[in-house]
Amino acid sequence: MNLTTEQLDLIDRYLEQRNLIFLDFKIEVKDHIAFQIEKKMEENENDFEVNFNEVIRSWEHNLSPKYLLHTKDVKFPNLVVQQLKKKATAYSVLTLLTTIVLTIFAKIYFIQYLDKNFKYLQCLVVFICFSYLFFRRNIGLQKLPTSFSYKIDCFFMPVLVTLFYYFLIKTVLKLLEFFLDLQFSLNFLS
Amino acid sequence: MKNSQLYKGSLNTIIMKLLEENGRMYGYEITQRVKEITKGELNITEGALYPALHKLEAEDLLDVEVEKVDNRLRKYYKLTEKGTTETVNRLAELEEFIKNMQTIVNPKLSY
Repeated sequence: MNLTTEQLDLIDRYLEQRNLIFLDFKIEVKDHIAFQIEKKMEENENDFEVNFNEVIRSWEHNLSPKYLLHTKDVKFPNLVVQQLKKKATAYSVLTLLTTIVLTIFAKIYFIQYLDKNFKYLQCLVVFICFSYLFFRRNIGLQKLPTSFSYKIDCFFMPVLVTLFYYFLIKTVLKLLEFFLDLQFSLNFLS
Repeated sequence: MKNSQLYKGSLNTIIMKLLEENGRMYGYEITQRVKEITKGELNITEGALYPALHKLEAEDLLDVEVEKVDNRLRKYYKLTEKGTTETVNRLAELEEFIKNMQTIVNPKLSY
Protein backbone atom coordinates (compact mmCIF):
# COMPACT_ATOMS: atom_id res chain seq x y z
CA MET A 1 0.00 0.00 0.00
CA ASN A 2 1.58 3.29 -1.13
CA LEU A 3 1.24 6.44 0.98
CA THR A 4 -0.70 9.37 -0.44
CA THR A 5 0.85 12.77 -1.18
CA GLU A 6 -0.84 14.21 1.94
CA GLN A 7 0.61 11.45 4.13
CA LEU A 8 4.07 11.99 2.63
CA ASP A 9 3.70 15.74 3.28
CA LEU A 10 3.01 14.94 6.91
CA ILE A 11 6.33 13.04 7.14
CA ASP A 12 7.99 16.02 5.43
CA ARG A 13 6.56 18.45 7.95
CA TYR A 14 7.63 16.24 10.85
CA LEU A 15 11.23 16.13 9.53
CA GLU A 16 11.32 19.88 8.97
CA GLN A 17 10.00 20.38 12.49
CA ARG A 18 12.97 18.28 13.64
CA ASN A 19 15.22 20.61 11.60
CA LEU A 20 16.26 17.84 9.21
CA ILE A 21 16.92 20.30 6.42
CA PHE A 22 19.89 18.55 4.82
CA LEU A 23 19.10 17.05 1.43
CA ASP A 24 21.27 13.95 1.85
CA PHE A 25 19.56 12.92 5.07
CA LYS A 26 16.07 14.17 4.37
CA ILE A 27 15.43 12.19 1.16
CA GLU A 28 16.60 8.96 2.74
CA VAL A 29 14.95 9.32 6.12
CA LYS A 30 11.62 10.28 4.52
CA ASP A 31 11.76 7.28 2.18
CA HIS A 32 12.79 4.97 5.04
CA ILE A 33 9.97 6.17 7.32
CA ALA A 34 7.45 5.89 4.45
CA PHE A 35 8.53 2.28 3.83
CA GLN A 36 8.25 1.40 7.52
CA ILE A 37 4.74 2.87 7.72
CA GLU A 38 3.64 1.10 4.53
CA LYS A 39 4.93 -2.22 5.85
CA LYS A 40 3.16 -1.73 9.18
CA MET A 41 -0.06 -0.76 7.43
CA GLU A 42 0.07 -4.03 5.47
CA GLU A 43 0.87 -6.11 8.56
CA ASN A 44 -1.33 -4.47 11.21
CA GLU A 45 -4.08 -2.96 9.06
CA ASN A 46 -4.12 0.03 11.39
CA ASP A 47 -4.71 3.49 10.00
CA PHE A 48 -1.91 5.84 8.98
CA GLU A 49 -1.82 7.93 12.20
CA VAL A 50 -1.34 4.92 14.50
CA ASN A 51 1.48 3.48 12.38
CA PHE A 52 3.04 6.91 11.82
CA ASN A 53 3.27 7.53 15.58
CA GLU A 54 4.71 4.06 16.16
CA VAL A 55 7.42 4.50 13.51
CA ILE A 56 8.26 8.02 14.69
CA ARG A 57 8.84 6.68 18.21
CA SER A 58 11.51 4.30 16.86
CA TRP A 59 13.29 7.31 15.26
CA GLU A 60 13.15 9.39 18.44
CA HIS A 61 16.81 8.82 19.39
CA ASN A 62 18.17 9.54 15.89
CA LEU A 63 16.04 12.63 15.37
CA SER A 64 16.23 14.13 18.86
CA PRO A 65 17.54 17.72 18.63
CA LYS A 66 21.18 18.29 19.60
CA TYR A 67 23.49 21.30 19.51
CA LEU A 68 26.57 21.52 17.36
CA LEU A 69 29.53 23.18 19.08
CA HIS A 70 29.63 26.18 16.78
CA THR A 71 25.87 26.57 16.28
CA LYS A 72 24.66 27.17 19.79
CA ASP A 73 21.55 28.90 18.53
CA VAL A 74 20.39 26.07 16.21
CA LYS A 75 19.65 22.43 16.98
CA PHE A 76 19.94 19.61 14.46
CA PRO A 77 18.86 15.95 14.70
CA ASN A 78 21.20 13.62 16.57
CA LEU A 79 21.84 11.53 13.42
CA VAL A 80 23.23 14.60 11.64
CA VAL A 81 25.14 15.99 14.61
CA GLN A 82 26.97 12.71 15.31
CA GLN A 83 28.15 12.48 11.70
CA LEU A 84 29.21 16.13 11.58
CA LYS A 85 31.12 15.84 14.84
CA LYS A 86 33.09 12.82 13.61
CA LYS A 87 34.13 14.64 10.45
CA ALA A 88 34.83 17.90 12.27
CA THR A 89 37.05 16.08 14.80
CA ALA A 90 39.06 14.39 12.04
CA TYR A 91 39.53 17.72 10.29
CA SER A 92 40.45 19.51 13.54
CA VAL A 93 43.17 16.94 14.31
CA LEU A 94 44.58 17.30 10.77
CA THR A 95 44.56 21.09 11.03
CA LEU A 96 46.19 21.03 14.46
CA LEU A 97 49.00 18.74 13.28
CA THR A 98 49.61 20.85 10.15
CA THR A 99 49.67 24.03 12.20
CA ILE A 100 52.13 22.54 14.73
CA VAL A 101 54.45 21.30 11.99
CA LEU A 102 54.40 24.62 10.13
CA THR A 103 54.90 26.62 13.32
CA ILE A 104 57.90 24.50 14.39
CA PHE A 105 59.33 24.62 10.87
CA ALA A 106 58.98 28.39 10.73
CA LYS A 107 60.38 28.78 14.25
CA ILE A 108 63.51 26.74 13.52
CA TYR A 109 64.44 27.63 9.95
CA PHE A 110 62.65 30.62 8.59
CA ILE A 111 61.83 32.86 11.47
CA GLN A 112 64.56 35.42 10.70
CA TYR A 113 63.84 35.36 6.98
CA LEU A 114 60.11 35.75 7.58
CA ASP A 115 60.65 38.57 10.07
CA LYS A 116 62.72 40.46 7.53
CA ASN A 117 60.70 39.81 4.38
CA PHE A 118 57.11 39.08 5.31
CA LYS A 119 54.64 40.34 7.77
CA TYR A 120 53.25 37.73 10.12
CA LEU A 121 49.68 38.33 9.04
CA GLN A 122 50.45 37.92 5.35
CA CYS A 123 51.83 34.43 6.02
CA LEU A 124 48.81 33.57 8.09
CA VAL A 125 46.36 34.65 5.38
CA VAL A 126 48.19 32.58 2.74
CA PHE A 127 48.12 29.55 5.00
CA ILE A 128 44.42 29.92 5.73
CA CYS A 129 43.59 30.28 2.04
CA PHE A 130 45.53 27.11 1.18
CA SER A 131 43.87 25.27 4.04
CA TYR A 132 40.41 26.34 2.91
CA LEU A 133 41.06 25.47 -0.74
CA PHE A 134 42.44 22.06 0.26
CA PHE A 135 39.39 21.40 2.36
CA ARG A 136 36.90 22.48 -0.33
CA ARG A 137 38.68 20.38 -2.94
CA ASN A 138 38.65 17.23 -0.87
CA ILE A 139 35.37 17.32 0.97
CA GLY A 140 33.24 20.24 -0.11
CA LEU A 141 32.79 19.51 -3.79
CA GLN A 142 30.43 16.56 -3.92
CA LYS A 143 27.73 15.68 -6.42
CA LEU A 144 24.91 16.26 -3.96
CA PRO A 145 24.87 18.96 -1.29
CA THR A 146 25.60 16.92 1.81
CA SER A 147 25.12 18.12 5.36
CA PHE A 148 28.86 18.38 5.87
CA SER A 149 29.68 20.57 2.85
CA TYR A 150 26.63 22.66 3.64
CA LYS A 151 27.84 23.33 7.18
CA ILE A 152 31.35 24.16 5.98
CA ASP A 153 30.05 26.67 3.46
CA CYS A 154 27.90 28.25 6.12
CA PHE A 155 30.34 28.57 8.97
CA PHE A 156 33.81 28.68 7.36
CA MET A 157 34.88 26.22 9.98
CA PRO A 158 38.32 25.48 8.51
CA VAL A 159 39.26 29.13 8.70
CA LEU A 160 38.06 29.43 12.27
CA VAL A 161 39.76 26.21 13.40
CA THR A 162 43.04 27.17 11.72
CA LEU A 163 42.99 30.65 13.21
CA PHE A 164 42.22 29.27 16.64
CA TYR A 165 45.05 26.73 16.59
CA TYR A 166 47.57 29.12 15.08
CA PHE A 167 47.00 31.79 17.70
CA LEU A 168 46.84 29.20 20.48
CA ILE A 169 50.23 27.76 19.53
CA LYS A 170 51.69 31.24 19.00
CA THR A 171 50.50 32.28 22.46
CA VAL A 172 51.89 29.13 24.11
CA LEU A 173 55.26 29.69 22.43
CA LYS A 174 55.33 33.34 23.54
CA LEU A 175 54.51 32.31 27.11
CA LEU A 176 57.24 29.65 27.06
CA GLU A 177 59.75 32.21 25.80
CA PHE A 178 58.69 34.58 28.56
CA PHE A 179 59.10 31.97 31.32
CA LEU A 180 62.45 30.81 29.94
CA ASP A 181 63.71 34.43 29.87
CA LEU A 182 62.41 34.94 33.38
CA GLN A 183 64.17 31.80 34.62
CA PHE A 184 67.39 32.85 32.90
CA SER A 185 67.20 36.33 34.50
CA LEU A 186 66.58 34.88 37.94
CA ASN A 187 69.50 32.47 37.55
CA PHE A 188 71.72 35.33 36.39
CA LEU A 189 70.74 37.49 39.39
CA SER A 190 71.30 34.72 41.89
CA MET B 1 22.40 -10.48 17.36
CA LYS B 2 22.22 -8.66 20.66
CA ASN B 3 25.72 -7.14 20.60
CA SER B 4 25.75 -4.70 17.69
CA GLN B 5 29.38 -3.74 18.47
CA LEU B 6 30.46 -7.06 16.93
CA TYR B 7 29.40 -6.17 13.38
CA LYS B 8 30.16 -2.44 13.44
CA GLY B 9 33.70 -2.84 12.13
CA SER B 10 32.40 -4.88 9.21
CA LEU B 11 29.39 -2.73 8.34
CA ASN B 12 31.05 -1.00 5.37
CA THR B 13 32.14 -4.34 3.93
CA ILE B 14 28.64 -5.78 4.39
CA ILE B 15 27.14 -2.81 2.50
CA MET B 16 29.71 -3.05 -0.30
CA LYS B 17 29.18 -6.82 -0.65
CA LEU B 18 25.41 -6.35 -0.96
CA LEU B 19 25.86 -3.63 -3.58
CA GLU B 20 28.26 -5.84 -5.50
CA GLU B 21 25.59 -8.57 -5.63
CA ASN B 22 22.54 -6.40 -6.26
CA GLY B 23 23.87 -3.57 -8.41
CA ARG B 24 22.11 -0.65 -6.73
CA MET B 25 20.14 -0.43 -3.51
CA TYR B 26 18.51 2.14 -1.21
CA GLY B 27 18.89 2.41 2.56
CA TYR B 28 15.72 0.63 3.67
CA GLU B 29 16.35 -2.15 1.14
CA ILE B 30 19.81 -2.77 2.62
CA THR B 31 18.45 -3.12 6.17
CA GLN B 32 15.72 -5.52 4.99
CA ARG B 33 18.11 -7.60 2.87
CA VAL B 34 20.51 -8.04 5.79
CA LYS B 35 17.60 -9.01 8.05
CA GLU B 36 16.38 -11.51 5.45
CA ILE B 37 19.79 -13.12 4.82
CA THR B 38 20.54 -13.48 8.54
CA LYS B 39 16.95 -14.56 9.34
CA GLY B 40 16.46 -11.56 11.62
CA GLU B 41 19.69 -12.11 13.60
CA LEU B 42 21.43 -8.98 12.30
CA ASN B 43 19.56 -5.73 12.53
CA ILE B 44 21.35 -2.74 11.01
CA THR B 45 20.15 0.43 12.68
CA GLU B 46 19.41 3.59 10.74
CA GLY B 47 21.82 5.49 13.01
CA ALA B 48 24.68 3.28 11.82
CA LEU B 49 23.62 2.69 8.21
CA TYR B 50 23.27 6.25 6.87
CA PRO B 51 26.54 7.65 8.30
CA ALA B 52 28.31 4.58 6.84
CA LEU B 53 26.74 5.12 3.40
CA HIS B 54 27.66 8.83 3.44
CA LYS B 55 31.23 8.00 4.45
CA LEU B 56 31.61 5.53 1.59
CA GLU B 57 30.13 8.10 -0.79
CA ALA B 58 32.60 10.75 0.42
CA GLU B 59 35.45 8.28 -0.16
CA ASP B 60 34.29 7.88 -3.79
CA LEU B 61 33.54 4.21 -3.24
CA LEU B 62 29.80 4.69 -3.85
CA ASP B 63 27.89 6.65 -6.43
CA VAL B 64 24.40 8.05 -5.93
CA GLU B 65 21.32 8.16 -8.16
CA VAL B 66 18.15 9.93 -7.08
CA GLU B 67 14.85 8.87 -8.66
CA LYS B 68 11.21 9.66 -8.08
CA VAL B 69 9.37 6.47 -7.08
CA ASP B 70 5.88 6.22 -5.53
CA ASN B 71 5.53 10.00 -5.27
CA ARG B 72 8.76 10.43 -3.34
CA LEU B 73 12.47 10.76 -4.02
CA ARG B 74 14.60 7.67 -3.49
CA LYS B 75 18.37 7.68 -3.17
CA TYR B 76 20.04 4.63 -4.73
CA TYR B 77 23.63 3.67 -4.00
CA LYS B 78 25.91 1.73 -6.32
CA LEU B 79 29.61 0.87 -6.33
CA THR B 80 32.02 3.03 -8.30
CA GLU B 81 34.91 1.46 -10.18
CA LYS B 82 37.16 2.24 -7.21
CA GLY B 83 34.48 0.78 -4.90
CA THR B 84 34.34 -2.50 -6.85
CA THR B 85 38.10 -2.98 -6.51
CA GLU B 86 37.99 -2.00 -2.85
CA THR B 87 35.18 -4.51 -2.18
CA VAL B 88 37.42 -7.37 -3.28
CA ASN B 89 40.19 -6.20 -0.92
CA ARG B 90 37.87 -5.65 2.02
CA LEU B 91 36.16 -9.02 1.58
CA ALA B 92 39.55 -10.74 1.56
CA GLU B 93 40.45 -8.86 4.77
CA LEU B 94 37.14 -9.81 6.38
CA GLU B 95 37.54 -13.48 5.44
CA GLU B 96 41.02 -13.46 6.95
CA PHE B 97 39.64 -11.84 10.09
CA ILE B 98 36.84 -14.42 10.38
CA LYS B 99 39.38 -17.24 9.94
CA ASN B 100 41.52 -15.78 12.73
CA MET B 101 38.51 -15.38 14.99
CA GLN B 102 37.56 -19.01 14.41
CA THR B 103 41.08 -20.07 15.32
CA ILE B 104 40.86 -18.12 18.57
CA VAL B 105 37.31 -19.13 19.49
CA ASN B 106 37.52 -22.75 18.37
CA PRO B 107 41.18 -23.84 18.02
CA LYS B 108 40.27 -27.49 17.30
CA LEU B 109 38.62 -26.55 13.99
CA SER B 110 41.78 -24.92 12.71
CA TYR B 111 43.72 -28.23 12.70
